[in-house]
Amino acid sequence: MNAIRLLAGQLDLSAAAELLSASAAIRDRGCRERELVFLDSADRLLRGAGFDAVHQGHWLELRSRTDGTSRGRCRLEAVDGPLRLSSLQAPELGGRLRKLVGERALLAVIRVSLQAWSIDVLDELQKTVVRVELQGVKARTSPRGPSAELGTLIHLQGLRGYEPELFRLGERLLEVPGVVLAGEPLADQALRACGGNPEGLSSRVEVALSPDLRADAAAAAVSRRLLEVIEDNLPGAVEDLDPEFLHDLRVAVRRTRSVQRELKRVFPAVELARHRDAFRWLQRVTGEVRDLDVQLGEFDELLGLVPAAARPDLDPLREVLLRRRQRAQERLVVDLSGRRTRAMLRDWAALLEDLVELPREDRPDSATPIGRLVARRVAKVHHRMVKMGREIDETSPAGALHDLRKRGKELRYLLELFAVRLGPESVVTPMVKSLKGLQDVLGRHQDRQVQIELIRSLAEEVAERPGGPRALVAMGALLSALDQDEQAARCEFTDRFSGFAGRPQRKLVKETFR
Amino acid sequence: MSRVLATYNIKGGVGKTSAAVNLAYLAAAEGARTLLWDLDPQGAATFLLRVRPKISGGGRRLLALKSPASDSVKESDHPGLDLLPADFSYRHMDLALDRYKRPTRRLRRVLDPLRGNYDVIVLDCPPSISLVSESVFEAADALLVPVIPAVLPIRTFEQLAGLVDSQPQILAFFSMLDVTRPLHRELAARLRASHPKALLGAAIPHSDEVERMGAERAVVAEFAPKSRAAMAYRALWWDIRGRLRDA
Repeated sequence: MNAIRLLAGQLDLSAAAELLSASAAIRDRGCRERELVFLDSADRLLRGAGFDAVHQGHWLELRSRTDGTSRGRCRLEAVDGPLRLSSLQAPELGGRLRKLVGERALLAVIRVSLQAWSIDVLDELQKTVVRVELQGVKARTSPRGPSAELGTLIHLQGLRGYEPELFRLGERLLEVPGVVLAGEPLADQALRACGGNPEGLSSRVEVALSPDLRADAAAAAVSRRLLEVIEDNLPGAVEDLDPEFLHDLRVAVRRTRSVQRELKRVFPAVELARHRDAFRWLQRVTGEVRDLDVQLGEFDELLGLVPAAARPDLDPLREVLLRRRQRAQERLVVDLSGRRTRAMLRDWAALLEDLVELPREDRPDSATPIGRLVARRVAKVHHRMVKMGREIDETSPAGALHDLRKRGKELRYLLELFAVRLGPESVVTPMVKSLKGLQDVLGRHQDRQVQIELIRSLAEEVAERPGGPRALVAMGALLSALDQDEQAARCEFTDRFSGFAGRPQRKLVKETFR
Repeated sequence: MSRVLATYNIKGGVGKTSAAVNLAYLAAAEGARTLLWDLDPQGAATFLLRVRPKISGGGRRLLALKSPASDSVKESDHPGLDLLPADFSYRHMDLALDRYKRPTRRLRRVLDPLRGNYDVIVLDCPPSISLVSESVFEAADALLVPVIPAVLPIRTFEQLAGLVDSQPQILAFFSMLDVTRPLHRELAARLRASHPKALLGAAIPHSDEVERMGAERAVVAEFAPKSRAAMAYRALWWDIRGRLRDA
């Protein structure tokens, strides 16, 4: 460690400087003001990996949270909206960031204004041994939003080879009443001071459950958390900050629908039907943008499926995909911002709030212990999947594999939302793993089908664009490659299914989920 | 991979340390991660950078590779510039090197683990022709040789040029040049004609600013940034950089 951060509480900068000069020989480097903007993905992937992305002046820099060292920087004039990595003119830094945050945009998490007084602490040779910055700090979450004061911070930056001097100075300053170690990095401190959560958005659903908990209480708790995830990701999906907002929103919607279906006997039947329709609608209206995001995100991979000489010919296809995506996003904004979405989410929240108190006559499983109910459902869905899978052979239509995949999602959500917290880990974890293996190949099969259908549907539009005829020829080659991969996935199905549906697994499910 | 440059001359007082410190400063100022190793037991470069001339365990321990050289590195007051300080025990470095099977490779072995951390390593060498010098020849990519334009220093330079074959590259430059003196001009022209490849275009003038470095304990660019000397060192650095790129 070569930096120490201290909180000096209510000491102002002059008092802090006097304190310092009483402790050591110093050289005053003067005062200046700095504006820092800390950026991260909505779910704080950089923070989780131990980094800060900081914009200061005309530079964006990636810094280690542990020791403040730079891991690369590039020129960036200003932060005035979400920062997409594709717009950075710095391949090395962009590559490093992409490894950390994937396709997520970097958003301004917190803005910090520092009035910084720089002071060098000297040894008897007049050599700088510690660089000190006395910081008067204000923070705000948006450029024109209200600010919060953090008081005076003292940042001690050690120099290599002078670590003992750093620690000695830190110890001396800590002896002063009111001076304490800063427990967390500046960005987190600033965000908390503004009422924010340094951990950002999380789409994880980790609800504490016990096997004896009433099923309706368990369903309500899990569904409430899923609703939070939907509401957290809604603004980002509407503003189109990055594709992950919509993706996380749709996963939460699918999981909600799964709870509604698998635990339907804990909800009042008539009301539930209305909510199921509403969530089905929400799933549908968000589908087109998501499908197009996936195609655009995988476009480079698709290019790899055609001969190198033909790849430039597919530019018109990309342009058409982008145009479609833009139109689909406009429709999505209208739907997600509209009254129907607000009302359905509000009504669902109200039902969950009151669920446990509702009459039980038409909710036969409401008081069933959740452990028992989930076990019953897992066994049933698993059994159903085994039956469906056994009926699939090389002559079965593609729809049979799609249906199996849908059942697989039901099972997966039951396991992830409930069984992992209720069942033995030694059983549930390998079951999730073998299910994932099966779902991967079913997913690939269906994804290729969806891609083939989508690309076919775009043929007319592509034909009208400059370079259209050449693009159609290249699309033909692409469709052929996709079809081959779809068939290959189908061939892999038998092996994966036998692992999932084999006797040992079936025996384990029967014994565990009775 | 880093470049190792050594300021070297058999003669003392020719401007090796002044050049080493100013050039290392300029390299760091341009953004190169730079290390200056003060190999001279007099510790002049260490003095100029205001660091205590002390290595834990002395030069012997450094050569024995018992602990990494990086443990002894000190960060200077200049961003990007680190110093591996001098130690008075370096006066016995010849003897220490002689204990090893391949003594002339030892300094290179000390430097090898550091090369990944730095873009430029500058060695400020003591004035001598010895096992230490030969070790420097083995470790360096280029020798930066300050030459005072006078008969005896030029003779010494020619001895060096004869001793060193093609490796390391010799990059010589005139130091303490006084262009008002006819003998300086004549000898400089003669040496340029006889060693066109080895002689750099830039030269360091005889100047008060360079002499003041000791009193100021600072590089010229800090206390006299617009002086002739400061500009001459900058030109020298650009010249060296260009030659290294061409090599």
